[in-house]
Amino acid sequence: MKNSKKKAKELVRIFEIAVAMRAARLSPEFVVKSVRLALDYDGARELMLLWAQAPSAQDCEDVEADLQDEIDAHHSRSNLQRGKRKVVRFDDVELIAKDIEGFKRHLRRIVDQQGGISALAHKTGIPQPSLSRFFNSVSVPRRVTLYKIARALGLRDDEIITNWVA
Amino acid sequence: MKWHNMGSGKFQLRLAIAVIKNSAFLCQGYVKQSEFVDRREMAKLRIRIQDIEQGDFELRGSL
Repeated sequence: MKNSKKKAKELVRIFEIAVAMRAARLSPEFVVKSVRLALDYDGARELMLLWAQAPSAQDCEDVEADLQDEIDAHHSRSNLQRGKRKVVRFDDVELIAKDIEGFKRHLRRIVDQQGGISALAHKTGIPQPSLSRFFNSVSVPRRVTLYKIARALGLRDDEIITNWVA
Repeated sequence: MKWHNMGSGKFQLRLAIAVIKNSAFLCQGYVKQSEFVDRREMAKLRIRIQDIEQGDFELRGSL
């Protein structure tokens, strides 16, 4: 009984945070997907609570990027067949990183020609911090993120898929 | 949690490892910066652990 009351309180808090996220102008798509993830995962619930407690704007943006990463990761896994992913050999990591870096640099040029990161965030509904993390890191891009960017930039899917995609 | 000091001890690389059913999974790595970053990374690790327990994961390399 005590546990179910605690759980109910936690859920109400999640919905309150969702309202606050909308008030902070995060896209409805992002907020709904964050709540759905939080209903399934304790860790995602914790991320939403951290968003509300973030000590600085930068911390808040980092949590938004974390949530978007988790949303994309779970979307990718539920929509793609398993067992067909490439396994990365440790010795190849540096070469792959350079390849990804070059791809992202090329993509960034196209983004900048079309209004920059802010405009892309508006068109895709992906929070700006998440896009900044995407372009400033050499992490393997997720297919779902690339498709969203392709649609926003008016590129064909085959123009945006790199050799290294999660 | 395993950690390594790097750059003459100026950076602490933290490796979040989940031990589940006799297997150790390296789920993520990050540089320690603040307590808030630790809490974020622990929240993400909880998601990873839940996924692994449900069999919902991919091996991207092994040692």
